[in-house]
Amino acid sequence: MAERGPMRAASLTGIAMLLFSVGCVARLAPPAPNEARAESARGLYTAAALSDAREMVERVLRISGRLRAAGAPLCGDEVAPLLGINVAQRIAGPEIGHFQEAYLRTFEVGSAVTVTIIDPASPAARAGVHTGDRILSVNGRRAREYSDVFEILRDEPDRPPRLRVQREGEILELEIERVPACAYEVWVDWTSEITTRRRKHDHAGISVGMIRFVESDDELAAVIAHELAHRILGGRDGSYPKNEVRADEIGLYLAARAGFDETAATSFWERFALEKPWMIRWEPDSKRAKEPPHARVAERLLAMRTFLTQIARLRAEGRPLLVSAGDARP
Amino acid sequence: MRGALVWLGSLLTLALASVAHPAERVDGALEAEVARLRSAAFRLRLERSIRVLRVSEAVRIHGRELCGGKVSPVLGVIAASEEEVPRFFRETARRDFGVGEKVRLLWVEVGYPAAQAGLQAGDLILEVDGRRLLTATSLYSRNPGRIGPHLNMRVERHGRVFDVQVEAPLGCFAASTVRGADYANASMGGGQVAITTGMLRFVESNDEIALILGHEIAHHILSHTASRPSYEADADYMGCYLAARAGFDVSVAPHLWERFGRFEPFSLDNDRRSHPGTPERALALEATIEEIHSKQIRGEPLWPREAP
Repeated sequence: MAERGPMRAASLTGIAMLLFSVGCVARLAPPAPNEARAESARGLYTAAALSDAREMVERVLRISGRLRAAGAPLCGDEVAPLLGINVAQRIAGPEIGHFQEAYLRTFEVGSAVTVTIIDPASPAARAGVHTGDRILSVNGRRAREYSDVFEILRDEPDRPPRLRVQREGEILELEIERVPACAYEVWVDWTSEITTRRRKHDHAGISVGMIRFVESDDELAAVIAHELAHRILGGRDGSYPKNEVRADEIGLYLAARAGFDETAATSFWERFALEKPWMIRWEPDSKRAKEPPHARVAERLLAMRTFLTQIARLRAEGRPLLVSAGDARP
Repeated sequence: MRGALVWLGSLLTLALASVAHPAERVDGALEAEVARLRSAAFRLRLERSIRVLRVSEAVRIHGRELCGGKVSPVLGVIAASEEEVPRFFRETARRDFGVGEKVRLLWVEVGYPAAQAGLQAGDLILEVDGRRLLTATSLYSRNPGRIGPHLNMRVERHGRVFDVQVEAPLGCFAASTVRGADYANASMGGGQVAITTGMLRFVESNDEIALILGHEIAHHILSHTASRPSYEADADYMGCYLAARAGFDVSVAPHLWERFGRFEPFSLDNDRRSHPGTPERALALEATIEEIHSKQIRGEPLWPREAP
């Protein structure tokens, strides 16, 4: 009976005591937290969450910046100089929660377009752009909204960007080295779901759940490269699910060209499949009636292995990693 | 006639397009890949379920005194019938574990009543106390007509049918399941505790799982049917006692909520209608831990305080 450990206490307890009557709510007397201490704890937890947020955004900026720059030759005329910054601005609207408010306060976000987080290795960082800078104009054109910044850059892809910023009462003109990159912004979405969201044609949201789920920069690069590939294909990639396979192919080349380990894509999608088994192959279910994007992982993994073999062959033969995106961009 | 020709033409285009792409290769390779991935995913789900079972059964047994009449037999098994398996796992469950219409044991935990009675993974449970067993969940159901420690099971193993008497003590009424969802969450509904795969990736130890299951079981004991800050505070409090009674290290509780607040910053708010803020929960648990420790030192029984 040596292995009966877990059972011993149970056999000693005897007959169950009917402390709480069935069907009505019993009330307990838990200790009440001290409000002042709770507030100060909230400050500490928030600071930790903000530091996580900064780290995640920096990471996404760094990886997406590398991919966008390496992918520039494939992006045709949809190119803009790379900044490597994240911006935010306060807008009038519904009340926001504690964390969002803390985010805006910490990064000193005002009603003007404010630089919040900068990739330390980016062209903007090298030109001396600081967190908290208010962007007044880009290339002499006024930037009222954050989207203006990126639209102006896209309009004038061939000149080094000039930012006019306000910093602590001073007005500064900063000239940024021109690094051509695909005109594509990658943001962090604050949701735990392991997912990506394509917004319009030139934005992608990478979820916090995704950033936490990937096991390496190479895996995160694989995810972002796939989204960027959709942008490069720009609707010329056929319909679902064929466009997913096509985006996988271009994505692998993009990751490889940017110096990431492109084979991380298959390890990522394998783990994704184990974590979300309903995505292995799509079969309608009473709970999940609509097919979500990326729901045919098995099919895509098979195709990805073929593409990886092609990339390995090109590399072994010392040939450039050129993907046949030509048929997608006439 | 012309219509038919056009139709044929578009069929041909489709066929050519599909041949051209590696994604649409022979079905055999795709079938094999689907089977391989689903099989691995099912094993991962089972491993996680086993982890949850170990914690859950310990909490249930040791919490029994606190659970009043809300009790059910503690067996220490994971079982399934086909209809309880999500659709995308059905084929895998049938092929790898023989899960069909009848309830089959997928796992029998050593040291618990089912294992002590000689039950094995792979056994089919046909009847319990003379009644046909339709679902694995009903193995955990309260049986109001029977409080005694014996369950008579009719078992089928390798085609042979025999009866086994399982000496199964009662524990808190709870059947724990693992739900596939990305967000870190656990929920209770009618005695069924569902813990998400996202939560299992988030937790750092079985002590944390015990606190989470304890919290959900407490909701059931206390007959909570909705979410209110006071209910959550009570469930945290009793959940901590339940975990401590089962010998888990509850001193990790404040850290669990601190990490959760950082992980899901929207849980930091205290002014919501359903849950207290994570800092409030961490601090209340810090005080609960002191209360529990002083009771342990004085050798007093671990009973939560009731409201006057």
